[in-house]
Amino acid sequence: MKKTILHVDINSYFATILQQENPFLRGKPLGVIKDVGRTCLIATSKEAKEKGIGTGVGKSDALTICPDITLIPAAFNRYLDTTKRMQKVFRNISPSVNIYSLDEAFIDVTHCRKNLYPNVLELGEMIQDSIKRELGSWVTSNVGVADSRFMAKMASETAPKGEVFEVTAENRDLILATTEFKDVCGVGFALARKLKLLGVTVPYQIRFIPEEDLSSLFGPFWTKELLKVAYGEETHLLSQLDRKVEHMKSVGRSITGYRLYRDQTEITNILKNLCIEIVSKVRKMNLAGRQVRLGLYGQNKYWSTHITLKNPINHLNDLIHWINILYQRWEDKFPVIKFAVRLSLLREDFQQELLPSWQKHEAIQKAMDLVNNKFGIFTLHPAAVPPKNELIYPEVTGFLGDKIYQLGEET
Amino acid sequence: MYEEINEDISVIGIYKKHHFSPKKFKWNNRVFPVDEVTLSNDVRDGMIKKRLYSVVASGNLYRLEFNRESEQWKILEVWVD
Repeated sequence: MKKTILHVDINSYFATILQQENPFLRGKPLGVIKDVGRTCLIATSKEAKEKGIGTGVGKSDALTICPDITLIPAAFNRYLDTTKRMQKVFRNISPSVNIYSLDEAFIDVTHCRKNLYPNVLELGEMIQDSIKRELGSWVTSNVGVADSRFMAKMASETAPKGEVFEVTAENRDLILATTEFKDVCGVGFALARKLKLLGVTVPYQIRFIPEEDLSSLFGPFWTKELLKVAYGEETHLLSQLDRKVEHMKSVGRSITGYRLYRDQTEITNILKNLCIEIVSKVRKMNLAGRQVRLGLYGQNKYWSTHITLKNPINHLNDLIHWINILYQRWEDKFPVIKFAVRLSLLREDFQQELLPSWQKHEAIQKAMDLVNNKFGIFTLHPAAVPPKNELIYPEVTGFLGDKIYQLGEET
Repeated sequence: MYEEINEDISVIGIYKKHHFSPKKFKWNNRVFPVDEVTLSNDVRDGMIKKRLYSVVASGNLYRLEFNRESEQWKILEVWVD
């Protein structure tokens, strides 16, 4: 049966939600920063984009281009709730919904199209109206309709803001011949640059490169993928959404500081702060991990290391212990701006240890979980963490890499 | 920018179709009729459920918070242009 997939994309999500919340910001150029004092715009409103200020632009550049741009800190906790509400809207349409990121979802209506949604363009408009009813009239979205997730996403990316666009047999090749690689899911910057050297700037052109040339230039995997891209077929990246994932394989947390950190105590305190969040998440999902990773970045330098343990861990004292051990390996002590900690090789079926010392730590950890789950993540924590006003709190990311955790189910 | 206030307030509103909608709030002995609820969200602070309302009242935007455990209302922030 030919599939019918809808891709729904909220326009300029982070900025649009802030404009929905605040009528004084509507119709004005708006830049969203991660927090007060941050200098990179993580999202911009459509009005800012019209002036050439897109995501990733620095604060000073944005102010040079548009001195009257308003810069507002993101409201991550509100975005996650908003996404959950959209998920409910989508689940009322079809049981087959994939939340792809905070502001994007795929809805498969293949099995209900004939009887419930014979006109998919009307369905797209109904979804747009439902989103407005649920979130507010300022929130506009694009809906792409196609026979694969790949083409549905391309359709919504390239359609004018607020439109519903269906890929048909008649317009398919035209779309593939006019869409730049920046709007093609799965083709990254490096790959697009390599293709550009061959004079290839749109998917359709790939069809004219002999397969053997593709293979020698890109290798067997990417040859296969690029040919799928050329004909608008489902790519490996998007087909992974069908893969059943029982639980998260790793939980990591990174943070870029406001300044360079040289003080070793400050650095280790930040690492402990990140460990608290990781252990909290891992324990809420009843998992434990065997691999601990540490990464530090600063002044164009990068250092990382990891250790694979014999037994999985999910106690805070264990994770901090192993991070300290890894930290001791760091010899070239450059000033640090970015910190990254990860606990990987997570598993559900880990065996609890019988050693009294382990049991004691488990009892302490359980007590901490109980208090922190009720009163907030940093109610009880080790003494050596950053001062209260500098604590790093959990946040959601735009691509929602931890959606199994955040949305409470596989989506 | 948003200016932090973080003070207790009293709120009057109505329940309609399983949703609460604030209609007036009293802050600093002054009553503010709510013209529009622009956004509401459920968030968690630990296990404590809170509901955030952004409301337009008397020409200003206010962020209100309802603690669903203690049933307390707070005015968190006001938008200052």
